Amino acid sequence: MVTDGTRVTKNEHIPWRIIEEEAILIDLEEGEVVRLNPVGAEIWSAIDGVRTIEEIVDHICRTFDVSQWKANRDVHRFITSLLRHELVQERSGA
Amino acid sequence: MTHPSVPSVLDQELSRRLWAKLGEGPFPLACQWELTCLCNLRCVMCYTDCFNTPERIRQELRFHEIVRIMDEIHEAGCLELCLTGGEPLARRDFWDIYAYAKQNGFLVTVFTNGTLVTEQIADGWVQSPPSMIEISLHGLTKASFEGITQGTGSYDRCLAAIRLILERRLPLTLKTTGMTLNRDDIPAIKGYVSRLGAEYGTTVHYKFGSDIRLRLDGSEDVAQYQLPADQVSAIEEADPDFHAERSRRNRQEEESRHQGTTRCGGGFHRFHIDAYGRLQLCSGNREASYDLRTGSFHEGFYDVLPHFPCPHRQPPEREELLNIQPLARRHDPREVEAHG
Repeated sequence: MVTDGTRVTKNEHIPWRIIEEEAILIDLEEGEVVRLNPVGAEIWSAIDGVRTIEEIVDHICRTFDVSQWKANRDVHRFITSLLRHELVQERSGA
Repeated sequence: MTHPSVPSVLDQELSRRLWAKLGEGPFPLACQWELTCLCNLRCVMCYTDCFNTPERIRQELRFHEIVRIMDEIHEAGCLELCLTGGEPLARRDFWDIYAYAKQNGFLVTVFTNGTLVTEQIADGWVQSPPSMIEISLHGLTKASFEGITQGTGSYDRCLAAIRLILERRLPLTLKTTGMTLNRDDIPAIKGYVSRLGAEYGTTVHYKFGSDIRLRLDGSEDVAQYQLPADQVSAIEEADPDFHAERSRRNRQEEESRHQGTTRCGGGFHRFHIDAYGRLQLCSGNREASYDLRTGSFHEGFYDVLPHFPCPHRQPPEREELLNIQPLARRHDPREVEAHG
């Protein structure tokens, strides 16, 4: 369950690059390349295990022309997807 | 005389067999038609209420236009028709529209707030029964109910309507949108619905929802009523039926994701028509429309609708699954160093 206070960290086994505003993630275990659009890339870049989801939402609101409500909804959904695909992990004890 | 709930059959075995028979191609099986944004109540979280104005109402489809479009969707093979609003019963010609749909063999569901249901209307439904009547029941006390509907006397009228319908053994679903104003009432409402079924010796279905939609004019003031995800989860975890329904939806969503279809079938087997005759994927996605006042349903459904954007229609590739809605930057993109 992703809440405003959740912190997530990137899966350290997933190499990644930012290329022309998109994030390219290499899932070596699945043998797949995952591409994130510029908004997804911005969220991916902001995931550091320190910032909470709420802080990432604030960051997206400052960076893109989007309302707090929409950013909050989309970031929660997006990070839930990342968790489901094990590209990030929930940071415990934060 | 009893009227068994057709959707309860259709939604399960018949629907499954029918959809399987239709194969993998799109087919316009089920339509949700928002007949009007006119409503006698002003529910605080309602997404259509912003268009409940005389000027907007004058722009809505007239009866002759509705009949022409209904003929087209009937000819295309549509079977299920859900009439909603606003408050569909607030249209003076509701009965003409309903009767025309029934004469054409549609399985008709009516979404209503119940407050305009009279004995005459309930008797009419006995003569020509709907597949389902769905009434919103957002509170179980006069204060909480009318705090949401902002309509004096609406609580008593809604409960009276429920009894009129059950006395006639018509199929009934009661539903609640969980929000900040009624979150503590949900178990009591569900218990009340269960007791109603026992009292009348029938099944009264119950639906719990939690999504508050932005208003049709884009205003976000309704977001204040949205329950946080953890509170929705707590409500669903506490009730075995809600929990089972959530699990079923999650499985369905996951299955759709793998199959690359939309979560709800919008544009595939289902479609939405708004009060102005605009064909859309679903009531929750009006980003793109096709005007049925000037175009044909066949062209709209088969040629145009498949190209409408839908965040839930995802090809199975993981890179697409992980996309998020594109947005315009407020400033130049910052430099991001490569990591690995």
